[in-house]
Amino acid sequence: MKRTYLGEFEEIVLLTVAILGEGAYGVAITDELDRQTGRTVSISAVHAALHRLEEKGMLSSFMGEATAERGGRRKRLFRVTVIGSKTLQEVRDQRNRLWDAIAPQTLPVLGM
Amino acid sequence: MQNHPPRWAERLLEFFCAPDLLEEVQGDLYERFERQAALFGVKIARQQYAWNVLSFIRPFALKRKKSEFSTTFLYSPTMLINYLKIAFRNLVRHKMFSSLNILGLTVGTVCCLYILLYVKDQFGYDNYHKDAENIYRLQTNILHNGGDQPMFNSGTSSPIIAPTMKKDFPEVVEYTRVLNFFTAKNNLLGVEGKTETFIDDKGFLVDSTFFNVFTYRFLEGSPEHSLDTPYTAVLSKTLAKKMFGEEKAINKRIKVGTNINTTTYTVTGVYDDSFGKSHLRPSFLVSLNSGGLGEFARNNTEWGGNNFIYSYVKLKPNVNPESVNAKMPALLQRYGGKRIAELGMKKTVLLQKVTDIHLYSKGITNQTDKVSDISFLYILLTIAAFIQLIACINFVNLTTARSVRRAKEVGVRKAVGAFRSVLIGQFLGESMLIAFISIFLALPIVKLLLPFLNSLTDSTLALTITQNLDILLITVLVALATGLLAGIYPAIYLSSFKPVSVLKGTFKFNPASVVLRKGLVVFQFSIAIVLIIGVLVISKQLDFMQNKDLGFNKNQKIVVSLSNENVQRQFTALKNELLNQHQIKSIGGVRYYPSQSFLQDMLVFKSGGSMDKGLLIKNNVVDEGFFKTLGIKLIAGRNFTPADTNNQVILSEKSVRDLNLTTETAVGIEVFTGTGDNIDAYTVIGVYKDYINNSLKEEIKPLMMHYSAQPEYMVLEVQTDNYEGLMANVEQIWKKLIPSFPLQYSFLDEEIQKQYIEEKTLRQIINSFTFIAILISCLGLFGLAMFTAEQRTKEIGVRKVLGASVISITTLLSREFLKPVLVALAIASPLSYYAMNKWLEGFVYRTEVGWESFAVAGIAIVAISLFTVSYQTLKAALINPVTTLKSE
Repeated sequence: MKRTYLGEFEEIVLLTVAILGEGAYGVAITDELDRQTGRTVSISAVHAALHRLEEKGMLSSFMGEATAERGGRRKRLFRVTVIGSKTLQEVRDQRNRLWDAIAPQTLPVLGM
Repeated sequence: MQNHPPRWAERLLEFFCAPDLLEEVQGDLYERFERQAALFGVKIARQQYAWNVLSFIRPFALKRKKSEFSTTFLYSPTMLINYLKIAFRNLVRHKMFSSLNILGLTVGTVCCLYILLYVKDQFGYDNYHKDAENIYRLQTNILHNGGDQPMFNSGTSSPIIAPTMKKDFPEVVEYTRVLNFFTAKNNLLGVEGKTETFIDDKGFLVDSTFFNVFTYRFLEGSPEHSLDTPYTAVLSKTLAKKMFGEEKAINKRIKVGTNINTTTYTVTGVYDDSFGKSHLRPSFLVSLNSGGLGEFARNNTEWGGNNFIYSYVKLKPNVNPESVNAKMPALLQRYGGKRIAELGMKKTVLLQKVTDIHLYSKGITNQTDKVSDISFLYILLTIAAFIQLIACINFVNLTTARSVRRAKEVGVRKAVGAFRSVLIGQFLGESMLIAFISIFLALPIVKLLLPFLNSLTDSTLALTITQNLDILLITVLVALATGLLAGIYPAIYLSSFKPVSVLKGTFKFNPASVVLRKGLVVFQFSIAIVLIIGVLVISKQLDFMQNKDLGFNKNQKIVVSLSNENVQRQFTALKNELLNQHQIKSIGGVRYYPSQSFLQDMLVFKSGGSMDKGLLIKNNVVDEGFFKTLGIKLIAGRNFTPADTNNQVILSEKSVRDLNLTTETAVGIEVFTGTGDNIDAYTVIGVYKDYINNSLKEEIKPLMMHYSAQPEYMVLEVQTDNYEGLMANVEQIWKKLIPSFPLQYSFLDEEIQKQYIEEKTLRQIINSFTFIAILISCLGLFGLAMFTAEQRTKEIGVRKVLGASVISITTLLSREFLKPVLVALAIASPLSYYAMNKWLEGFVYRTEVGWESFAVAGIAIVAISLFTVSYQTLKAALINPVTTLKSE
């Protein structure tokens, strides 16, 4: 079965949303990405990715409560959908299969 | 340093970001900003914020998503129906105000529509000719040496010029010349073999090239070569129908009689004269190559004088007329330089675009047909705009005055989420609705009033919307413009109310809107007053002209046309027969009777002088009875006797003065005209007191009377109350002596009045406009008075309870309305004084503006406005205070 294409950045964002659970929204996701991967990404890039993922049906979103620190504005909270988690699972399985298919000692050993 | 994100960046974000994403994006950016500010300081945070905003300019943020909530506000049918319903409810609920509004706008629109129709009709003359933009008429301008001589600026030119232009200028592709039958009034037409005669004054003699220059649609025959052979004629459909009925006209023979002779022509074609608008509008055309006058024109080699023919040239495409104009002086100099110098004139010939003739011929005399003037059209358009503006002001005033009634609605609509733009749309829609109602009422009214309106402007307009898309377009545009003009301020004003104050009940009128309302009333009444004063001054000038002593007695004079040689030969017999009628006191013969322009003139000099220094004197031909019949006084010398010839002349006082003679010295001397061997001498036998022959707009010109026993017209001095009986007798005598021609007569005083037709039309038009302006202004005033009376019922109740009299309350209320009217009077008076003085300057003999015009206008306008508001103020003052106060 051919699954929906998932880009590398999208995959990471999707995983980050999963890590954050209930509190996944723009700024939090950006910060978590930074922390987990060390990549500094712009908010707009994260927003764009979230938007795309939502269009692909892998994320669902709803508006949270108003908070004072955001000037009274609400957060849009994201959650991984069934399709999203299924896609992540498939990606992972595929990677695992690929890893399994590599003959031992094929990859050069990192100098340790 | 401000601790908030940069304003411009926030604005930018709000501008480009899709509304459904805006809140989260703003929130995220703000959150990030706060943290950055805490970590790195506000400056860095602000830079970061701006950078982040810019990085959001990417497709996903720009793309607008369809909102999951439908925008019910403006476009949904439910809301539109609601707006309409509310609009109609408001119309029905406030019947009085609605009808005042609609009535005012309808009257204004009627006025506006008709004027637009009229103005539109005046444009597009001669556009229909093929290559119309390359056709030009020659316009002649002559200045006599010395500079104080009258200027001659005419649409006619010498007949030799146009053919020479074609020969010498490669740019000129074709030329044609058009000639009036002399004294154009009396073309008698007949069908060969029939006795019935027709009179038509729009026949022209034309070159055979006429249809190469001008385009006509032929119904019978074809334009090519139709006038090539001598003695051929082409008729208009109208004339052909009159002469031949349903029969074919082609190849029939017709007789055309002028006052010189009668000629027979063969009809070679019939054209559709209802097609296209033209400055020529001929009813028939005959070949110039048909002997007589045409032959004279064809063989004429005069370069200076004889400017009696209309010449047209067609240039090659894309030739600048200026380049041809620039070559004209050399052409005139080469062929006619000597002759022109001999006549002591400076002559210029210029090209006038044929499409410009109808609207841009101010100051050019000798036109083929009635021409209009672009500035007159501008005046009309201005007046139309002002009338419509007055009507729109009514709408603005009545709507804003009553805004308090709509305030709650605005409050509620805003509270449940209406945007201001939506409310503006709603109120504009309402004014559009009223504008369209008015136009639907106005159209049938215009149609109904068309005969009356046409008689005002002396035109024959028809209103056929179905056939004429332009008119439909104009109508819709007028409605839209009116709706917008009337609705825009009320819409902005009404939609500006703050829902909190309206719904709390602390809503107050904006005092600025009251000032504006008063200002608009002042404006309305200023226009009305200017128009009233205009009417008064124009009437005064017309009365003045009517009663001005013209130097002769114009009353009880009948002018009879002796239209051809045969008739003129019978003049003496006719005169003797007619004088037997006891009502006919005397009879005088004349070539140009008062109100006609003198077509002949000569350069006259005293012995020892020469023609190039001569005085340009107009010529008239009279018999011995003329002075007595018209009551013109001879102040020196003697009257003509039948023994006199053409060489005895009587000079006018003015020409005696201009020749540097005195009344005493003039009689008996000789004056001369001509050059070389060809000098004519005239003996002055008398001097008469000047009379005003032409319009009072013109100066009296020097004039010389010659003698003739066979004049073109006879003037009868009569004394009777029974004109019908007298004219029946005259006709009988005429028939007995001259059976072949019908009797044609007119009344001298009517002929003189005809010179002022333009002023009379202007008076009639301004009269109607004044009436309409006052009517509409008063409608508005009435509405405002009604509103104020309603508003102040409680106050009046309290005043009455405390002992105020009906009179004091009426005065109190009236004073409020009188103030703007008085201010208007103060503003309008100097304006109209200036304007009317300017208008009067167009007359040589004029009355002055006079204070009484202002007094009459002032009293009239105050009386009218008091009368208008009195109904409402009295009603308010008479109301029993119990009814107004008990509810509190």
